Amino acid sequence: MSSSEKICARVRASFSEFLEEDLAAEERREVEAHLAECAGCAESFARFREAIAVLGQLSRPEPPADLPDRIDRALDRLEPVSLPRARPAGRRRLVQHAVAAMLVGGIIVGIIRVVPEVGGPLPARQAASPESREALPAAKDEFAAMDRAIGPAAGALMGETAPAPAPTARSESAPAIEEKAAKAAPAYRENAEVARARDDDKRVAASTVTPHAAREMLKQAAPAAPAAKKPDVEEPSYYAPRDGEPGGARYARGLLLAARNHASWITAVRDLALSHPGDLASAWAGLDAETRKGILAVWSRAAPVPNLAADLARAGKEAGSPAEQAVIQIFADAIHPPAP
Amino acid sequence: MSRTEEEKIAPTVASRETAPVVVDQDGPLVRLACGGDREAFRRLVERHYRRVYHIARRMLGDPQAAEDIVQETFLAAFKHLPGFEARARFSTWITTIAMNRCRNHLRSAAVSRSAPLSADPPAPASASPEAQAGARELAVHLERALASLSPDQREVILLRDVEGLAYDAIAEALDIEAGTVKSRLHRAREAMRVLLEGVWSP
Repeated sequence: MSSSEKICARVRASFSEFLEEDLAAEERREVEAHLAECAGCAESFARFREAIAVLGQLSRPEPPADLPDRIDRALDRLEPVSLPRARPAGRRRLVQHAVAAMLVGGIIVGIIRVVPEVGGPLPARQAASPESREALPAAKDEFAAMDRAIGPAAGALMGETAPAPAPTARSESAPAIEEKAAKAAPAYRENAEVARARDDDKRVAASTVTPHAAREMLKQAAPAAPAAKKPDVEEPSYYAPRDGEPGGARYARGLLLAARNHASWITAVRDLALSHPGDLASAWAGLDAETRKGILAVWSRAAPVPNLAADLARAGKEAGSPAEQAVIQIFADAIHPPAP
Repeated sequence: MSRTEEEKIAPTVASRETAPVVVDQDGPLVRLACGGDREAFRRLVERHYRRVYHIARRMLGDPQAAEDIVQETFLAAFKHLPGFEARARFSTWITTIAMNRCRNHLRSAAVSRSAPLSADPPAPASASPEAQAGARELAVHLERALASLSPDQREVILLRDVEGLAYDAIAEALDIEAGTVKSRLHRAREAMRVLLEGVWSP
């Protein structure tokens, strides 16, 4: 190999470094000088550069379109007990909202009327303040235990025909409530099955929730417990109007506050997220940090929020809209609370 | 999904010149999926399976094997999601899993000796017939050269020049130092240049 051939070989071998400007200044000048005088190497470099550019434009073989479905099915086999799948939105959503509204606004009043021993001022009953929680250390565990044991079933019920156990503070021991929850769970699951079947038949209606039915469910899941200590600080009513607060956001605010007391409310919140993500997002934004933390703490112990993302898509929300993003973020925070 | 759209949601697949700082849009979905949300995971699959397939297809050359790699990759991802640390991008993490699976596949099977070539690729659009023919010819040569490289060289060219990943993302996906990525890339490109020179000047 002649000395000029050696230079050509060395220069060509450094094309990639030269292209990426990874050469030392001196080497770089050497290559530049050589390319200016050697037509062969200059042409070779031009081809090399073109080749690198064309690599980025190579055709991309299309995978089979059913690959995501196949992955889905493989996951089903992987986890025989999969999470509840989202059902199509539509009339069901309306019913759920009616139920949710009744739950927040009316049913519990009814329950309290027929079961006087769990009575008490409505706002105080529904929204046990953080202070009252502190006064009953076992209560937190109870909620967690209830959520674990009956969360999904209760959630399903919430969205369909019947109320979740009214979020009352209890003073029994955690093991006792665990046992009770375990006993209650099958009944709830059964009810959920029935409810789903009804839903499928499109015969379900908000009117199926009678005070009597609600009382029966309440008995099955959580027999009346001695009333909790009255909170020292009175919570604001869920429906207390706030200046300048539009109705939708106020409703969302009520649900969010309810969700702080029991994770099963999350289903109602989720439905609201689907129909009115903007309201939910602005209600969320209107809560103070402490309240948000309380809500997230309860949710994070609950069963995962199923299928929100897909539901949002199905509900026809513009993908990636600020409201949708905000709501997804709320639910994401609920599952993995952000570091303080 | 168009290429541009994919770039938008898979920010590491960004233009190599600009490499903009983009918020990882997978973040919220990943967090939902971590909590067991199958639909959120499904969305992640839909966002990334084409890219994973493409990488596997080029690494292995075999469509069926590539499909298997895609399935294995996402199943493994779902299984290990709870341990996924948010410091990495989901897209990079998925690429890491896919790359490892490809390497294992190449190691276990003797397929590395004769990676089949894919069929003639269509030329890039918007060019004159002559330029198109030229580009198509170059593309065929490139495909062939790419398939002839050693897996180590192929993977780095694939991630950098074909997929357009940033150096740090490649380092993470291949589990090597960032400096090593560059030196490997230069060696791989040089090997490819030598292969192409044979075609250009017979």
